[in-house]
Amino acid sequence: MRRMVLFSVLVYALLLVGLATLNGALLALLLPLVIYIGVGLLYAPPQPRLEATRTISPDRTIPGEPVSVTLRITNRGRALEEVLIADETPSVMEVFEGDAVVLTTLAMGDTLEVQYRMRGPRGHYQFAPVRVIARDRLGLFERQARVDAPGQLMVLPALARLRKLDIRPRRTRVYSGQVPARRGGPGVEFFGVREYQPGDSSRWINARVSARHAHALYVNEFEQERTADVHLVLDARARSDVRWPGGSLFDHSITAAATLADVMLQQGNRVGLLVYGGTFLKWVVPGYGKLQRERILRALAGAEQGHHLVFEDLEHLPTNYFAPGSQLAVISPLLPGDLRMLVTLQRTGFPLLVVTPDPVGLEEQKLDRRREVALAARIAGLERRLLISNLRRTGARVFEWDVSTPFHLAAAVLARAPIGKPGT
Amino acid sequence: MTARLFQFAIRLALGAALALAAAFVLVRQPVGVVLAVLWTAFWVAGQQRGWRWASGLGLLLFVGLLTFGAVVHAKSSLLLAAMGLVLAAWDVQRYAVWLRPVRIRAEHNLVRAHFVRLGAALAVGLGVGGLASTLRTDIGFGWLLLLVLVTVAGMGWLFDALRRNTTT
Repeated sequence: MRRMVLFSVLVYALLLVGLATLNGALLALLLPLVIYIGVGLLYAPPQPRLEATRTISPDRTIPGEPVSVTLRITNRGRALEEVLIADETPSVMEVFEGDAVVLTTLAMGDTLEVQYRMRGPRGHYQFAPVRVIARDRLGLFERQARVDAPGQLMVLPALARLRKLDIRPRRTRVYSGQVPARRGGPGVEFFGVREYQPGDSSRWINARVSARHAHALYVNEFEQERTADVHLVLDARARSDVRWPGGSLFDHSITAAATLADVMLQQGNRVGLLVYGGTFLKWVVPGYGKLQRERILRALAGAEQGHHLVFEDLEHLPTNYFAPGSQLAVISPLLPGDLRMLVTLQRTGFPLLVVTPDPVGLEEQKLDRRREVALAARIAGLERRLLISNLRRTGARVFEWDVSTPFHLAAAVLARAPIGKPGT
Repeated sequence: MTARLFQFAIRLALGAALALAAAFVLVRQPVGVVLAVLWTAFWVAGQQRGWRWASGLGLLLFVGLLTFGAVVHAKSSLLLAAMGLVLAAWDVQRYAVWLRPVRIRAEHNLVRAHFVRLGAALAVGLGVGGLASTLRTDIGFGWLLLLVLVTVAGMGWLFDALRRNTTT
């Protein structure tokens, strides 16, 4: 457009001055300009008619891992002298090999293959249509088009492997699993002794107890192990987060949530996820197995933080989403106002496991080592310790996580926690 | 490649300024020479500092200087040569900017094809311009008016075509 304005001004100015002054030299000077435009017009590009297909390999990955993108573009229209093909990658992705923008010539029926590799942070990315700009060789005329090449990339949160996680929900489900069900039956762990009934295995007879009773035999009973309902609650309130260039505490919370979901599902439990905060609640209905794992990871991949007055504190946590007596795992840096709701949850029959990445220590590391910072960190740390101590007093298990230690190493303590005792 | 194109554009601009200065020297117009030198400084500074608007404004200013040259009856062949060179400089500079951020498939062929097209356009333009500057005809006011109307209408059509063929 600017080229057109420039040439209009030049040509009309020369023409008018030349005619006004009857100066033939000026009119002669005009001719190279006019012919330059005329040549451009003669070879003006047609409207591009292209078809594109996109291959992304792999289409699900983890942050920082390379992803190969191949774009095949076929010209279904007339030949294009100069065509710029720009695959607009998501802005946070880094193209580190090859190019997503290519300038070339495309004859009729020609196919162009654009290949590049990129990597980026957690997220669910949809590729925009490919931008195409066809120009004549002098660059005076331009035709733009968008060519659909659908593709999506899922960068799932990094997952740490935990072998085992000990939980003690109030209620279990009917299917056998790995959660102690607080009732006798077939199992591994000793639960109690009862009178022998026909059909009991003779190996279960407790000789010592039977010896004390002349007319009855007693057998050992084991604690049944069943599956349970587990609900993960991920705190996505922006005000509880600590951010720094290239990262945030929220990313660590997501890693923790993904790891907990993975281990709980591996143990055969029914797991759901609630992302609390942002502009609306994100709820993954509880389910079992690998499919549910995928659903939760996808939800975590797209989880975003936000400000919303309704979600300023945990008071509006939708407890009716959770099955009664189910295990709640809350992943949150915790804010002072959260205590009331967490205590209420614990007391109304939802055993709590709180995984709390430490925001105070992290923020102190990121700030300058000044006296004021150290003092502020000390005060904030005391407040936090008091909050956690009050929470533990209600029987909730609280796992404080210093995010400088990888979650799977730090959380090994969760597998060893003594059963039935409050706090870790 | 783009660095070489930028250098080439500067050389073309220097050539254009030299032709213009020579035209002013021949008609003893030191003001014109000074203006040509200033223009050169502006162009080179614009290129080196990456002012994207400098090439367009530079072309506009240079055509202004050419008009001044024509008004003071500077040698038309030199003015035409300067016009051709400045147009080429503007084109090459713009082309280098266009190529800079992208990977080019068959770069050599693409750039060569551009120069062939540019060379052809300038050769025809300068040839026709040179031919036109040698013609001398006397026409009456009516014919002149008709010529003006036809030219303005033709230019209007040309720019309308340019607008229709550019979707930005």
